[in-house]
Amino acid sequence: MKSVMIDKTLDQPQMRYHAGMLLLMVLFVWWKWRVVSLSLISLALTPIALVSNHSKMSGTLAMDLVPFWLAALTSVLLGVFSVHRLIIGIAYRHRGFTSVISDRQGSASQRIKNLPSYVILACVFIALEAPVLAPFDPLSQGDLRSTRFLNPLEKAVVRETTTSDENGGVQYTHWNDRSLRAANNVLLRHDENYTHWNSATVGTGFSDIRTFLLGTDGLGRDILSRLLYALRISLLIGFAGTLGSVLIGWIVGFISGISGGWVDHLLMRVTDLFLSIPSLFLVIALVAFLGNSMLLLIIVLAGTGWMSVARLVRGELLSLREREFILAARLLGRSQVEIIRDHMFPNVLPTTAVALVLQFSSVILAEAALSFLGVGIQPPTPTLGNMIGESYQRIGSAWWASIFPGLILSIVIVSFNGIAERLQQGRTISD
Amino acid sequence: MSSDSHRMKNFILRKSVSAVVLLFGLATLIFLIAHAAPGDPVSAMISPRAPASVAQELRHQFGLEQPVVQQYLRWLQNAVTGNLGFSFSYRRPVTDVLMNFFPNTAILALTAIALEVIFGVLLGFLAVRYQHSWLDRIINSGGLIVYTLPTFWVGLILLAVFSYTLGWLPSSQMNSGDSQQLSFAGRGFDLVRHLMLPVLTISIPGAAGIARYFRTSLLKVRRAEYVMYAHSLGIKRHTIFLCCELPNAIAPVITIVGLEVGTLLAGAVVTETLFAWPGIGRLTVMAMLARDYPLILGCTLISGIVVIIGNLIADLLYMYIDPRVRVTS
Repeated sequence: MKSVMIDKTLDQPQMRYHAGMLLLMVLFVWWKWRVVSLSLISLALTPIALVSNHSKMSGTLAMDLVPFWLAALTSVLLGVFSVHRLIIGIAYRHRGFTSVISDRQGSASQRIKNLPSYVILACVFIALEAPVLAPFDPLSQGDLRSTRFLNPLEKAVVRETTTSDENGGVQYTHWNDRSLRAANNVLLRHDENYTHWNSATVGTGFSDIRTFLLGTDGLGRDILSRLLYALRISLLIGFAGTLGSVLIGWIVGFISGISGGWVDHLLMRVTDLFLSIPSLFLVIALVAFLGNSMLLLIIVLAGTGWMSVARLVRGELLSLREREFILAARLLGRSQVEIIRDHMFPNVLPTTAVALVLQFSSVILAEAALSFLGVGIQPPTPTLGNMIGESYQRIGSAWWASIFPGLILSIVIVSFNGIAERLQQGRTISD
Repeated sequence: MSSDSHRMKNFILRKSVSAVVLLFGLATLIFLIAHAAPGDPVSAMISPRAPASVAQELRHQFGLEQPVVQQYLRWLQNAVTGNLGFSFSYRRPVTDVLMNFFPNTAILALTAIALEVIFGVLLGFLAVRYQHSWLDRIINSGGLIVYTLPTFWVGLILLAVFSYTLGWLPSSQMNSGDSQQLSFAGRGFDLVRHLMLPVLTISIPGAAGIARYFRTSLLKVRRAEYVMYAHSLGIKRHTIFLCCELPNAIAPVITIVGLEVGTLLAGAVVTETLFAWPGIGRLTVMAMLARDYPLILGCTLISGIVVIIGNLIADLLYMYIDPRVRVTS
């Protein structure tokens, strides 16, 4: 059979990557076989799906998707489980956090609450590995006539052209002659002379059938690949925006709480002022005047999210200032800086941890809303809001183009809020 | 008694004054945003091939040569008298455009708040009434998930299910194309049909949040000593509920709703764009895409005004409901 995998994920460096991952997986299985056997048992449920709708579901295990599944399952599962064990170890070392995360000694209802953190860890690992995992280039459109709005699990014939872009990569052309689709399937697998069979494809290179696991959007770009890259960008903006806003909120809250007096009053009025404009309006106004590159977006999102953190920090500091151990420290002659560093700072951290996680979800939501409205990250760079915004009007016919990004967005945001809820419960229980 | 009403007037006065101060601060912030932009606003308005004298003339007209403080005072003066500038894309004063679109958002927001509070309180009450049953667990955990769902996911799903698959409800705008020909009642019904999906999009997560919050609040109130005392006196359960538990439990909910007006408006932006509802949120987005700076600033100003007034009303309502606030302040 002449057709060869020309999948991007299988050239040399990625082969080494996958080999390394497999080795780690073997070691992991040897070390923690119980976890692995549990996940294998759950994987055994897939035959049910296959049996129920064979023709559709077998498309998910098409030959060209096997490397994708391999990479996704090994790397993501490994990453999630190892980080999870790490967190449990840390939680047990610092006794106060044992209720925050449950290992296998907990009851089932407790351990289901681990799910949001699993989801977020999986998202982080997926985002880190997006260039490796993505079966297609997120920006390549192919031949629009045939790749526009393909259903999920539909196949297209991929032909390698000879043009290469400036990085030495290879441009792929996707085309799918719908009227000959069934014939293509048979012919490609067995006919070595396929490249001459259609006069349009005379040329060099091999051709192969590729499956679009989640379909394509209006411009023929693979939804799955775009989702992976979009998750990357959303998480990046989320991290950076949250760090920025928490930093600003800490500084303002600390200055306000420590100083007291007119400084406190002034800063709190400024915070109230910023709080009185709905965040989205403020962000839109700032983006209108300052621009919408990614860096500016991060700065704007950080500059409009610090208020709740500032109020929280200030409240904690105000209540801390009156506590006995601070008075004792002051009587013992510790300097103000030492008191702040050793006593106030660590006691403010737990509350801000909850605020940080909540801030994360609201920053991701704000960025998605902005891109959805068309004023955030511009196409063709994929981001979750972008993808929804481009295709929501076609929701009647091409539902996959907007439902999948929306689903991933909801899962990420609900998981972050679940983690925040867990942290809050953990704090109140251990208090 | 007179000192009580004196304290009440004091409270109202203080809150109103701080609201007015916030309004002025808001106008200042808008002015700062407008002047934070790099570049020259005039050059964006005229053709690059126009002679420099035209640009100079425009700058003089807009008063851009005056010192910043003077520009700021002029802006304040204009804002207070209601002159918010001239919209480029609509060719009308900004105030006119805002007044055209604001009532639509008001309809949407008020209906959403009403539905949210009613259903949230109802669900919260049911959760407490059937506590520890499956209903309580669904409302609590399901409520957490639904509350945190992003607005446009809920809108997307509602759109897909009710508009495209089932075809029951229209998917955009405020009226159908032929609404002029309907009778008054027909037009009202048409409006309600168009209103339902956007309102549901905002209300469903909001109601879930209020349900959880009201449930916690009602549980806390039920454990209070005065409720136990009332029970021990033999007063009937539903009387206790109506006169003691409900007002005390509702008070924090009303405060939350008042404070959430801002979030409601922000969520309304996405909902309005999704359903093409002609309101302030969608107006802001259109103005942003058209780079119509006076209109963007006008929309931001009006949204801030609405939030400040909403907070003020929430404070006053809280004072009205909870007599302790009147006495202790």
